[in-house]
Amino acid sequence: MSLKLGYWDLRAMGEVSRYLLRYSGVDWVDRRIPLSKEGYTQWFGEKYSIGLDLPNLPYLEDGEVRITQSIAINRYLARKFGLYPSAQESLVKCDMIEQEAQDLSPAAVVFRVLFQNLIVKKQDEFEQGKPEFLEKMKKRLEMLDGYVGSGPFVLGDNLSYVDFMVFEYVSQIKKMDPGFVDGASNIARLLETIHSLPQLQPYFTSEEFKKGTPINPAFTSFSG
Amino acid sequence: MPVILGYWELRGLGEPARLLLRYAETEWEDATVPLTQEGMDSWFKEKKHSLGLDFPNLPYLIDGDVKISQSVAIMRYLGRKFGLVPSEADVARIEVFEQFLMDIRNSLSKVCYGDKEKFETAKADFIGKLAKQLEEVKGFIGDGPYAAGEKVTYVDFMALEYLSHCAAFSPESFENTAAADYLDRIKSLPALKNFYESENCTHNSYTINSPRAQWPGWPNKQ
Repeated sequence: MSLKLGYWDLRAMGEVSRYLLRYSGVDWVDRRIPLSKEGYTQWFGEKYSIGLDLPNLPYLEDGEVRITQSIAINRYLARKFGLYPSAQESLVKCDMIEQEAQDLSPAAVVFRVLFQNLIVKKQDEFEQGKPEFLEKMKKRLEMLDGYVGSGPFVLGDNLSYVDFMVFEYVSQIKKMDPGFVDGASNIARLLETIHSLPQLQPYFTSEEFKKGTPINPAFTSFSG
Repeated sequence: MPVILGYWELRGLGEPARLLLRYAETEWEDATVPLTQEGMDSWFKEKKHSLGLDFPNLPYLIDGDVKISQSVAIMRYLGRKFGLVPSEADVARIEVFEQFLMDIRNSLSKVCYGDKEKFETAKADFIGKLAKQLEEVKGFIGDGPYAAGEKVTYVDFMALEYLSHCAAFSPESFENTAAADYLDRIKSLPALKNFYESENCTHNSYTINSPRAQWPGWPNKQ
């Protein structure tokens, strides 16, 4: 059994890939590296010796294939599981939405670059920066909402990996601001649609889901 | 109808696409937005919301009916348009490299656009990690000569530009490295060689980042 996703025991940049794997119904190993001294020792001990060209977390093993970088992993899984658009025009739209969705991720570019690692600041600095962050994200969400329209999916009739990116990253922001999708009715509907996918019900009814996984590490000011 | 590429009058996220278009020796319209009040007004008040972009932003690319924003989406599109794409077997590997380069670009941006007080520490941290990353680039490229081996692909232009940003930021880190050799090979591609050697080469006048950044990356300055 050779399909394995390795990541910290967090959502952050790995959860989208987990959703794609859950959706697919194939057997896979959900390797979670604990955020503990043991976990760090384990990971940093093996990081450069498990056949990864550009070692990092998350990583994916699929037989001989060994890749890193969450977006590369998501695209690989999308192609594998029929969640990648085929029509030429859709490729452009898909790539744009992928990047826009990435820019919604609290763990990714926005938090790190534009907000100078807001989540690793002290609690009071985070609270100070939070309104501006949410305001900027709301503007992006509005554009996405307008784009999605009646959908039902981001790219129209066909479910694709970018739906899972929007689902997960918007859900992460909702943990910070429960009213985040108020006024973005198409996105709210999309979240419901993804949440209701039959292929995801085994996960949503599982003990694992009920237990929950933090979004970011405990030392951040938004661990969700 | 020529392809139109719009971006600020600096290198930043728009330059890889400009380099690819120069390499492709295709007619293209350089819709550079000047960093003047007039320029910024023309972007924010006129063009931004009237070009038909679904997600108005810079850089943007217009190719007939195709209208794209997001630098990565633009590079992938130009790659497909000009056949600068990997073989099917190599796609995943090249996409990993594409994202690795974006990680480096974003890390450097964080330092360059960060707080003045934290700059020296942030710079030292970045440079500390760079050596290992350049080793990884060396391992990834191998004999090359390019990222996908014999074939030039769109990621080579991202590598050339984003690693050149790093080289300007920390020249010592690139001395005698395989990464520097890789960048030199891409720079020596015919149309690019002409660009870099021309008197009007924009890299002689454009900053890497915004001129208002903590580290703008002025030409020939460190």
